[in-house]
Amino acid sequence: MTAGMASEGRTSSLVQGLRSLALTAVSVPAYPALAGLLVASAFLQPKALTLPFLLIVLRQAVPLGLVAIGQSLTMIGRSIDLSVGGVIALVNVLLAHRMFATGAPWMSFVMPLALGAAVGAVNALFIARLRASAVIITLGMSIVLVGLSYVVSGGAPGGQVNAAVRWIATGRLGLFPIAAFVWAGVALLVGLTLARLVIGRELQALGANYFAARLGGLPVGKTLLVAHVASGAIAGAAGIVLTGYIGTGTLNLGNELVLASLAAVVLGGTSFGGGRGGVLGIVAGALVITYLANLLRGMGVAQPFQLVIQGLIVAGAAGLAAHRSR
Amino acid sequence: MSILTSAHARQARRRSALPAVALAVLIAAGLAFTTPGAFSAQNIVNLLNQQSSVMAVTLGQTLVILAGGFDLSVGSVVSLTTAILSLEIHPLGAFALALVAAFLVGLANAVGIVRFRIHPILMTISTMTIVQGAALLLRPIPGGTVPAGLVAYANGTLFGLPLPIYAMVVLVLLTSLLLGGTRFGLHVYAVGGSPENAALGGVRAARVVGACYVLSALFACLGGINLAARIASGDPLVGASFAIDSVAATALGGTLLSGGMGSIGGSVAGVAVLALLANGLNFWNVSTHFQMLIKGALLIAAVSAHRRAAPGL
Amino acid sequence: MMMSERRSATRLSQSRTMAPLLEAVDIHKSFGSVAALVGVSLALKAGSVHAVLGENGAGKSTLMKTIAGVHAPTSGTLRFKGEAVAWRDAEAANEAGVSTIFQEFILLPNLSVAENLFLGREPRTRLGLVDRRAMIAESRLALERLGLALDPERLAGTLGVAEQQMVEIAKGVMRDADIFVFDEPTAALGDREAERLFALIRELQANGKGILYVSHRLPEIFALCDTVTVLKDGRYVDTFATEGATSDALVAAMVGRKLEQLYPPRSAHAADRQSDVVAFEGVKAPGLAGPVDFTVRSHEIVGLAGLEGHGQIEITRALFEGWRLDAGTIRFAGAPIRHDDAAGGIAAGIGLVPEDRKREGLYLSLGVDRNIAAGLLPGLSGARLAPQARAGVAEQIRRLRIRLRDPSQPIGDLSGGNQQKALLARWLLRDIRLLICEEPTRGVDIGAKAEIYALLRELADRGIPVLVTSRELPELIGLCDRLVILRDGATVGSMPAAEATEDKVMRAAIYGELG
Repeated sequence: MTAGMASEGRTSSLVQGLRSLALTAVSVPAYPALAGLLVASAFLQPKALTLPFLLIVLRQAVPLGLVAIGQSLTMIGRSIDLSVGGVIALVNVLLAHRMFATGAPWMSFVMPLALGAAVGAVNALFIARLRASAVIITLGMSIVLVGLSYVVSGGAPGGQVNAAVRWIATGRLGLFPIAAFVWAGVALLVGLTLARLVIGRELQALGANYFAARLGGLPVGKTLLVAHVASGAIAGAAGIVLTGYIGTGTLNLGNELVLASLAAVVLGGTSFGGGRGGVLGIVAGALVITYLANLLRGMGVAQPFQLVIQGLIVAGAAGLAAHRSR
Repeated sequence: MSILTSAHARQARRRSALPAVALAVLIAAGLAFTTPGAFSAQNIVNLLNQQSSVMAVTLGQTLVILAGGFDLSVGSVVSLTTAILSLEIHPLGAFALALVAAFLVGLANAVGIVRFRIHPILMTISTMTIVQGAALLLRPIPGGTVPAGLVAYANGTLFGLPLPIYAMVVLVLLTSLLLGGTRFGLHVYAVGGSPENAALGGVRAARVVGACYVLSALFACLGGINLAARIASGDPLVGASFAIDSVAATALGGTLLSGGMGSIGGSVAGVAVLALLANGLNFWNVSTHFQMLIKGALLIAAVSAHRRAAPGL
Repeated sequence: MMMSERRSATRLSQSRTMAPLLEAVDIHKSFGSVAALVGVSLALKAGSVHAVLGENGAGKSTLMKTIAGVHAPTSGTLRFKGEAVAWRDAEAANEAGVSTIFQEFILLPNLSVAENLFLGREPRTRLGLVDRRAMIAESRLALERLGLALDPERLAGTLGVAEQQMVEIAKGVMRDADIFVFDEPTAALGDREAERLFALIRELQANGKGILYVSHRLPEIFALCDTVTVLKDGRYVDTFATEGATSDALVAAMVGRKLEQLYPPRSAHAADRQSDVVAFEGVKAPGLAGPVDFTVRSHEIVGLAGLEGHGQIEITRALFEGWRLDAGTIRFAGAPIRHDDAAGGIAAGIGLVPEDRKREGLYLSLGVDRNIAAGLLPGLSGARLAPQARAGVAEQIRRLRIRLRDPSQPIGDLSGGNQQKALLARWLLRDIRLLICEEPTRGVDIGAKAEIYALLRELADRGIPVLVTSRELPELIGLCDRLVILRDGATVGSMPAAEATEDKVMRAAIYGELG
């Protein structure tokens, strides 16, 4: 009798374990997607499983991965940051500008972070204080920033960026790209903040119910400000890395990262108001998107077709998230 | 509800357009005083003609926003439509294909948002990307020729005015009638106020919201046909700015981005503001780079007037 | 075979003689694995006001929604005017002649009164366009017939709660419905408005309509209804004629427990030896015409009594959020309050359980543990480690007997009573010196009610006073030590709850002077 009950308990805990595994898979579509991609490439493109290729993917995933982590902070707080592309575009032409290209290396690192943080602060002012639509505010901000980048570069950017910028983007520490360490550092910092710090709790509470958070004595305005400032600053960091890859100023750099960052976040199991995937899910999401793009390119699939696939991924992942929350 | 200017329902809807109308008049007056040529008949006609496509897209966007949504896929639909029309197949086939494609995009948005409850921003950003990809697949670089009839339409005039202007006016009138005079229009406002309550009150809310997305895609298609006629070729990226412009015009026109309050008249005024501003900046020799900057700032200013109960999307 | 034939024959003859307008027979309704209705039957006659009584969770709302066509029954039969019906949706039931005035209002705030009245059945001109002129004229007529002087073109969102409800009723009257379902209609009404509603219901009754009246307020049921059907745990218990039934009998049927057992005994602490914790002195503020003068002493539960919307919520929020006052002072623990937001109020040692739990209290998607521990966050620097308080949270869950699967379960899954207990736990976890509890048992079943009352009393006995608002006067009288009576945003005076009766309090609240 007792033994029977015990074994019953064990089976039910096994069933529960399987169920929670299945739940995680549905909650964070990036995990099964990543696994599926690796398996598929074993058949389609075995070369894509070699270490050099994987390291290239890792390096390429850094800018997207960074932006997505920042994006997720705003989305947890039921906001959005569509200005990340604008931040990167402006950071890029500024880094290629003589003032920073020939200036002290630290300037090339401080400026993008400060610029991104400032943009985030302005976004937050409009969104949290004036309570205007976050989509439109950050979209408008993006237009302003891209406009500024045209003004700064006179529409004809170019030039060489500081060597330090190139080093951080393309350098290696042993086998691993330095940029990947930057990404891991940011992911760790944000992950710990969300899981352990008061501000992380406040952000999640705010995303769950703004009115309850306000009446519950949480600093809602300040929390949204921090989320947007962090998103902006992290976009600035992504701007450094992306600029380092190409080494020069160009027009509208980072434009496609806006959509891709939403895709990575949603794939990672986070949606408007929070989610289950955490930062790790988002990292996986960024890897999925980058790996897929590389795989498709390797197979000779045209760029437009990649757009189609990326759109389908966002819709599919968002559909899963919506289904889950019902 | 902070922009309520009247306790009278229809008055409140109409008055939401007032700031945009005032702004349009203000810019027009500024133009008239500073630049003598601005109010030549030719300039006004050019302006109206140029705006005909944006106007069509904005009408659809206004329906969607009034119903409480967003449609960011309209720009890609415009691009796709020009790409299809420049395929150099049989004209009727081209038109049919463009309309069917737009209908399917609208339907996909509708099903994703209404049936699968995907957030409108995520859903329409997805279709925006997919349709952009499709447009690039069909026409990787600008070019091709559109059916001859279309070019004739773009160049044709009636009583000295280009045909696209008439088309635009007819479309605006039809949409105002749809919104202000029909059951469907009233139900669009109802679902924008609260989809759940509208459904309890006897409105088929899912169908109304879905229909708005389908109509929006079809309006974008009409905008695309009109644009293809004017540029006489296909361009896979030509619609890129239409999503932002149509949302900006709608917001400028006083329609609440959270839905339920606003008017077509407001959106017409919103398009006028954007057009007059671009025109004025040209006359005042402001570089296109700065124009972009100003447009972004205007967009921010326009939505900042609409304070909500809680911050959010 | 024979048996069932005979049974249906009896039922038929019954329906002929008593002519039920609506008959629900053996209705079952399950949501997934949860059975909400288990074999409920009910017969509504024309010209009858039929109460449906039960605790929260007894299945009243589900039954009403089934009758209104919102839910389809899992099994069982609905007969309307003798014919079996299966309504596809709310609109179909509406069309057939069942008008439901839901608990939460379904008017659209951004449409006009007339547009709301005609929603889904707008009259059309020959061209197929909406005939606004006819809509407005007919609306005006219908409103006048109900004695409402409302402009049909007015935005519904600018109407008061009572007016909105009247418009809902007008909708049913205009559609010439045969059955009116009222789901706790007085929950959001003051007494004056409630009286008007009752008059209207009696008029509908006189016109031969059938009325289903869901409520848990016994006095209303006795005043208004001729028949009462009692539900418990989704099951049919009994049907009484109101005439001859007693409150105790109904309550016993509803819960199997006597009324007075709900409330814990009052404090043994003598009032004269206690110190003031809160003192309102000549306070005037937005929404409070003033002057508001009252105190809350340690070891005391004080209730704010009065008609709905006469300043209760303004008083609690002015104290908690530290509103800017037009005149007077609010003292807390001896000193005038300095804070100017909720965070400041919490820092000063005040906890608040809001009246609208879901809107202003709970983080529905977050776990119960997170919801409770959220009380520890205010005042902490964002860069600090978040307090885990796992043991503290677990202790509160155990002590308050919050029923859950595991502490990280989303709080949205819990029943109203358990949610309310979790909100109380949020403040118990913190070292508070005053608890404000708005509507302590709104949407809470009777079992949990008793537990919450006991908890509030225990707090007061420990020297943490409680300031309570409630729409339910018996609750205030039963729970509190002292009642402060409000009228038009000013205090009338206060009286010991032990000496208070509903009659006395209402007189004071209406005439503005203590008997």
